[in-house]
Amino acid sequence: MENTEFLRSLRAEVNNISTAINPSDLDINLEQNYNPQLVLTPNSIGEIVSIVKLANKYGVPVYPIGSGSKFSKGISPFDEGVLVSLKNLNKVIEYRPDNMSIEVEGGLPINELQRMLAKDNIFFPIDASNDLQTIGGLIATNAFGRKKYMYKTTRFYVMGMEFISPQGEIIKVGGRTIKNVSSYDVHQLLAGSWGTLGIITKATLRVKPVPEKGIVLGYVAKNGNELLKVIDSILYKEKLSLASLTFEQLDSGFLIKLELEGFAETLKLQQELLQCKYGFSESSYGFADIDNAHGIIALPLKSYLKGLGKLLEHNSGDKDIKIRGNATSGLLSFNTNASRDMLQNIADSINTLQGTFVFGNHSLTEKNRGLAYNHLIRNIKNKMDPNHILVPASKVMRE
Amino acid sequence: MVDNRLIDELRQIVGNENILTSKISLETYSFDASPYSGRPSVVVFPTTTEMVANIVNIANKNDIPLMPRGAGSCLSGGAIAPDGSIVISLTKMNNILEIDPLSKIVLVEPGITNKQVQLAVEQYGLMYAPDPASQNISTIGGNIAENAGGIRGVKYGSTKDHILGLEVVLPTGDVITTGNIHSQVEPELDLTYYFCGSEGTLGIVTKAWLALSPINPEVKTMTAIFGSLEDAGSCVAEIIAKGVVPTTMEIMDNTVIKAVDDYLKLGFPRDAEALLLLEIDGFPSDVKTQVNSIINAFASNHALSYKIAGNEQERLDLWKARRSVNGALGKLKPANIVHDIVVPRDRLALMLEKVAQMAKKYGIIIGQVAHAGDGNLHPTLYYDHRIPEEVEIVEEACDEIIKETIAQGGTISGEHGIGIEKLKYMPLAFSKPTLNLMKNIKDAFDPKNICNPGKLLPQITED
Ligand SMILES: Cc1cc2nc3c(=O)[nH]c(=O)nc-3n(C[C@H](O)[C@H](O)[C@H](O)COP(=O)(O)OP(=O)(O)OC[C@H]3O[C@@H](n4cnc5c(N)ncnc54)[C@H](O)[C@@H]3O)c2cc1C
Repeated sequence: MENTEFLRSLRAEVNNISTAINPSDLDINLEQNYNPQLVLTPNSIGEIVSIVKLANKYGVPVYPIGSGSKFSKGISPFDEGVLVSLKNLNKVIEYRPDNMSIEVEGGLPINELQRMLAKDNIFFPIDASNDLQTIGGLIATNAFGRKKYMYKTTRFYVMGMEFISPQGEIIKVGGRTIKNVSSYDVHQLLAGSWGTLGIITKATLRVKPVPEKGIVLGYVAKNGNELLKVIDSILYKEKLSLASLTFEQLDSGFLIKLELEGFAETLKLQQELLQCKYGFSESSYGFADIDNAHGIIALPLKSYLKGLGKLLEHNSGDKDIKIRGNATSGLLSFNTNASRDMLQNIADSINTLQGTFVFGNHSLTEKNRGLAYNHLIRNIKNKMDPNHILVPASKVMRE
Repeated sequence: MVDNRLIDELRQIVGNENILTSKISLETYSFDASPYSGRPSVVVFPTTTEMVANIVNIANKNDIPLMPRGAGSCLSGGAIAPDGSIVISLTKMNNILEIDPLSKIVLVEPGITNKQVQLAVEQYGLMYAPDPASQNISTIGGNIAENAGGIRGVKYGSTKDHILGLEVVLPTGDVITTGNIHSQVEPELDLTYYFCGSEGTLGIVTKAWLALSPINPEVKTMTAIFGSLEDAGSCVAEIIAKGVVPTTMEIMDNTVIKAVDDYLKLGFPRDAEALLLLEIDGFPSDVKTQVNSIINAFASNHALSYKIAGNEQERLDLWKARRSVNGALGKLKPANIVHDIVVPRDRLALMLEKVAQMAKKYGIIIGQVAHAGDGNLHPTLYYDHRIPEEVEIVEEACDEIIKETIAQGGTISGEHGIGIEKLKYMPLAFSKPTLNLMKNIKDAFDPKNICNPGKLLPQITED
């Protein structure tokens, strides 16, 4: 990398661009083997444009970063290039409560957004797993939270976007209206692109009024069989204002938690039903952590019980595997140092159920989209980023 | 060019019964629901994905333009066949392949109509939420390509909010599958949502996984009359702010109210400036809470009167005014043009007023109905197409409406798409680098530009 040339030109263009050598100087903790040569913290969109244009000129890889919480999930280790932190782009640009929309910069942390909306009894419906995650990061990873069943994923709340293209152009797409079919939804291509197609500098989000009421109910199922039975009824049979159904394995039995959201009157009726029929009682917040686990399984809802059943079978001899799940998202997770054989067994079962099984950041199930899909993705990337500047070590670009 | 040799090749792929070449039958495939027309060379009706891929391969090899077509109900000219093109009609790929009520997913072929999907899933207590007014005829493939929205859109969103995955034949002839029927836990670029709204320019959808929603047990319908558009507009804002999300929130202006009243004799006050039609759904207890909120909003925004339907007959009566708008206004002039502009919801009342002023200024009739809950306006301009001056004035008024929409922070199309009709407005709405980027991405999908060329993206002038 023409590091020194690049930096000299950048300094000539941008006065006092703040640079650091170590990500940790900026409170960014990267895993081992992620070795950017430089960390830049631009203060404006214009500065990002300069960085990206010069990066193209000098062939310097650019890695945008928000809070860094999912960085290693989507990007492989590297030791060439600059990290561009969005943390100083954290302003609110336009807030329109009567339109239920807000335009913010990409580096705004989710907790600050929520705090500000809460004053008007409004919220952004994606419950991030970490308070510091940035809006740009949530969009770039198309994040979803515990209540995905009710609120889906981040992409569905993006109405408009400004991003810096891999060639350094400022691109504005979408808008601030609920409905919009004016041309291609480029922001939907950027949502879930893991940084590879542009640096998200602004987003206009659809927000919602806070539901009248939310309640959490809990119940301990004595064993796996009872767990399966309860999930079967709640997920497939009862008509509920269900936001999430999570559970975690205890030393004995399974703690099941339900979250209901909606109108107070309705929730009261539903709570009574769940109390009488199943024995659920009011419970506290605090839910099984599905994300931070070695093994994560995703299943279509119809095969969730089969997948859980399989996992319980594998688990029967081994008390060390503590299964956790979010049935409403179709997720299962566990921590274990299980043998290769056992993992392969689980993977085989999940494969037949059309699910995905990720263990320690590696997929053990093969969902192969085929050459044509990967080729198309590459074509799009090459057209947008002919010099391969943006996140070249991405895991989303497959051969 | 499509010559006899190519026709034979196509005939071999789809069979004799699935190809049209005669002049007269091609004529019927020259139109959609817009005022434009085109001249296709041949229409084929494939019945499998493989056939579609083979047809596309022929087009690709011979550099012949092609266009996927559903029911042809497109209003912006998106389904106008490019001259000399192969039209690929998907109407014979109209099967439901799998209904999975537990996951609430249905897998369909693209030629099935929206209505047929609704009917097939109803028995499971489920619905496919997008319900464009054209649902009896328009196809799922066309709905996806236009990202169609419907009356229930306020609460449930538009087509793209309910698509989980697609099978697509790319303009290169390759077949890909996008999306996920379960939560995504691996980093992956999902192209599904870029296909939504791409107006048939990126490939041909041959299968779609649609997300279904439970049918809510209770529906309540009501109307209110206001003395000013402003009051109606703030009423809408207040209802939304209170956390009530109606499935439907329609507004009609004075021009429309009067025309409908002349037509149906419903006894509306002649000076009513706005009529609001609302529908909510939910559990019975939800509905009760919401009705109370809405009635309070009516009162605090000076509604002159309101009605709540007590039974199905009364519900249909309340809908009657809204449903008769086209019939009533169609009587005023022989031709009309409808826009589908969208403004931020806090600008709805203002925009309705601005358009009403334009009608006065140009001395023309503009009827306004709007999906108020989405900020989506349908100003309809009535004119006589045989009188050149009227045509000219209406065109001028259209341009002003579009410019005002953009000035209000809105967007030029919320339902009908760009197609051919709104190409000229694209440079007003997007910067040149943005249009160039869109063109670049289109090249990645369709390097030879054979897939529905001439739609959606304007010619970009170099300067
Ligand atoms: C009376 C009337 C009412 C309407 N009401 C509404 C409404 O409420 N909301 C709304 O949003 N729209 C409405 N429309 C517009 C129109 O019905 C929609 O745009 C509809 O989605 C078009 O579907 P179609 O099957 O007719 O598609 P077509 O008109 O045949 O095609 C539309 C576009 O889709 C492409 N296409 C079709 N099939 C495929 C496929 N399988 N793969 C890829 N591309 C494909 C075509 O190339 C074309 O560009 C209305 C139209 C009419 C005439």
